[in-house]
Amino acid sequence: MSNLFLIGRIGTDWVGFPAEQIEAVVPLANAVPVPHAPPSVRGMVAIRSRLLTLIDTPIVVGSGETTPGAPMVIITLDGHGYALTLDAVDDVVALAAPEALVAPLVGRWPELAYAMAEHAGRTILIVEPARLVAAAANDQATAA
Amino acid sequence: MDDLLREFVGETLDMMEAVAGDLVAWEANPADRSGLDRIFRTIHTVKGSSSFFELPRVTAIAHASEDMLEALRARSEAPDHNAVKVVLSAFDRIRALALEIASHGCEPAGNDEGLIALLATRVRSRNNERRGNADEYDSAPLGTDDANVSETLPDVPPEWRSVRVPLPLLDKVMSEVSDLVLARNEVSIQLRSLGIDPHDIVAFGRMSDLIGNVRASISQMRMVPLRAMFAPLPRMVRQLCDELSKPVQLKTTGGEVEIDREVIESLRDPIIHVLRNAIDHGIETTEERAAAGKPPLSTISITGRQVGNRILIAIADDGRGLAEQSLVDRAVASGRYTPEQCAGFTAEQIANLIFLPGLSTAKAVTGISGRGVGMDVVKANVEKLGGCVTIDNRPGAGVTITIDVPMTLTIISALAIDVAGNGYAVPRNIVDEVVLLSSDAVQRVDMGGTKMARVRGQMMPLVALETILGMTCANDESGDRALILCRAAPSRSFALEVPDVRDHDELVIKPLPPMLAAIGIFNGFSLPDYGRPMLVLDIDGIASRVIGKDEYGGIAALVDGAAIGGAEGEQDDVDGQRWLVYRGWSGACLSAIAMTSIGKLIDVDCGQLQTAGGHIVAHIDGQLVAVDATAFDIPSAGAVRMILVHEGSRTVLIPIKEIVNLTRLSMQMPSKRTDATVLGLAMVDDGIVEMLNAARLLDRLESAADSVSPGAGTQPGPMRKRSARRE
Repeated sequence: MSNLFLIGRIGTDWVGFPAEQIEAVVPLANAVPVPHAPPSVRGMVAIRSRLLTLIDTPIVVGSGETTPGAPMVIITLDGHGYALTLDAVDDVVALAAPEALVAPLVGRWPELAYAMAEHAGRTILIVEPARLVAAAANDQATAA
Repeated sequence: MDDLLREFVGETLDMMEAVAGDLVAWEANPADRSGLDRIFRTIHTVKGSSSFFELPRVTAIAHASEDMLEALRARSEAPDHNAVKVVLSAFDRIRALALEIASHGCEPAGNDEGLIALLATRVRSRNNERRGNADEYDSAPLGTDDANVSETLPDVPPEWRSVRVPLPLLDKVMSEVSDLVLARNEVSIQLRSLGIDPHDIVAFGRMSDLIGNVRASISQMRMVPLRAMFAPLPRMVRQLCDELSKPVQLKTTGGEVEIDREVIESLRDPIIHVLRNAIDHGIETTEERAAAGKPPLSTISITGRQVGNRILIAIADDGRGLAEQSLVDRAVASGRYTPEQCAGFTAEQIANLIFLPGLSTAKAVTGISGRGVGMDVVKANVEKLGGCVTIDNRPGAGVTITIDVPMTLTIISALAIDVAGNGYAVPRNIVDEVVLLSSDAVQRVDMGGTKMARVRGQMMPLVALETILGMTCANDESGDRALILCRAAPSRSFALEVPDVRDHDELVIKPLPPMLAAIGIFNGFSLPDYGRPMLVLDIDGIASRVIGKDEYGGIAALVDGAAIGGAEGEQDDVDGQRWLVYRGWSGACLSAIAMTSIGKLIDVDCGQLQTAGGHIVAHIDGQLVAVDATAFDIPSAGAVRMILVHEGSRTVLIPIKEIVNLTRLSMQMPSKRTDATVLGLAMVDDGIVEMLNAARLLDRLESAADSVSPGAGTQPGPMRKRSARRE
């Protein structure tokens, strides 16, 4: 596994996604809403003529809606494309040694992050995109 | 020409090219013998297949080549150049013959003695004694034997060129073409923003047409004729017939009907299963057939035909048909239905019991079928494809099973509907009809809180798309709203009220991610040409919400009504029965009771009626009989017409205004009422009829009868059945 990570911000927290899983970073697009979808699912978007499910990541972690004009990252899981919003994207960096989580996380974070690292004086939570998608899907149970 | 032969030719051409390469590679590097096995395998296959197709020339050449290759392999040193040349000319000859077969359907006349002699020479000259020379190998075989053959070599008729392409690659090309369409649309939008009308650019129009053509050709690539699926069946049938000693002839028609490769692959197993069932259980033994006066040779026919964008495949046998009693026995034994429920089933409903999981009517489990993993799996597989299975049972004369599937899975024809600015698609194949709500043919009925629509006499539940989507209807009274009459499954129709039908579109459907599929009312999304994503409505899913879950094709829908009221609930006869339709005492609504539950019609004088303990009872022939007091008060004078209803040993009198009709009713929709006194609703000329469940009605009134008629059952009176229970 490569040690490159895409660093972005969700709410006030900085996160790193394994860069190899990120297909593209594109500007936030308008989604067509899907009735009865989980609250963090904004709907469907067509990016480069691909249909993606747009997940509002800040809503998943409970930090409100994504800032307008924010970027989103595109990933593919089991053949389905997803666009995950971030409040900001910083850079793709090599993180030498992500370490195990030292302190217990609060909120939704324990579901999402599996490691942490230091970069440019910030603490970065390493997040597995698949877990983010799963967490968004689980909102369904709460919503229903 | 025969398809199998066609396949043989195609394969032979491919293989000969490949093994020629292997042979050359071996010659170049004698130490690497990895390709040798393939050469042998291939030649052996060609030999076997050609002898099967009775192509003696190919067989002879293949045989001689095999011998020669054997000789070459036995030697440890490198194959000599000339020997390889001979084998290569043999391969070329096979190719050339294959091409001839392709264009003429048979082997051309001619002889290959020269070539075979050369091949044989090499075998004999194992010790590497040179005989003849390279030129002889080179020119002689093709030149002397049959010059025409070699001439045809360079021109391969186009229809014989085929390439095997993995399906994912085709899908990829398909989706790329869809992307191309979107890109074209974007160009068109950008041109407009520059003040240029794309229609003015001829090349743009031409490009649009070409893209459309490419898209159509690619869809065509996925299609294969049904023949491809029918081809192996005769052999299978022959083998089964031998095993079971039942002479059967298989007739297939409609082999030219084209269907999506993916659909055909998912259909193969269900069809083989149905066919096995038919031979094993459907077809009688020769003696039984003789006894039944049938010809000894039984016929199974498989017919494929295209109806719109659906394919119907009917498998019909002329055997004994399904044994209704044994189906019912099995259904009861499995605990899914009570004997009373089954007693009310129509022949069609009984035949449909075969789709119950784990139900096998075979008396003995044979190696071929009868293990009870069967028709339910067939049904499930077909439904997975968006199809349905229907069964037509003719006891004593055979069974026809019809499999109805969409022609292709990737493109559906759909109606586009806009709700709140977003597009939704309704697959065209489940739409019976689209009518305007303002049309004379449509009546909206609100009955007991259930919205319904009556369209040309047919009653069906009505639901607004906005309600399903969790929105409020924008303008309920607007006249141009439309009704889409959807047919989810037989007897499960409903009307979907939509703001308007915008368009008709051919859509490429993409699967939904699990989190959206879990919502249960969508089954895919699509990106139509104008570039805004669209959700495809899952009509079956919506039907389940509107009408209730249906697992066993129409039966459960009506049984559920009773099952809600009580698990052991008696099921009245429903369809095809005679019902007494009457106007109730209040005069407001029509009700109906099955004739089998009606004792008689009597006029009861008001003097015979009295109120006791809050209940109304009637004295009739010295007996006390409970009266249904719903909306009924004893009138001060005169007589009241009543229906005596009995169910088992219980009786009740229902006061009525008038008898409307005695008729057969067919239930239009099952009841949603939880007490289940109403089985369902039906239509007669005068309006809607509530079909009552006599047993449930009596349950409700039972306590009344018991509390006021102690010992009523102790003296048997003239009425055969009365409140005589719980002595």
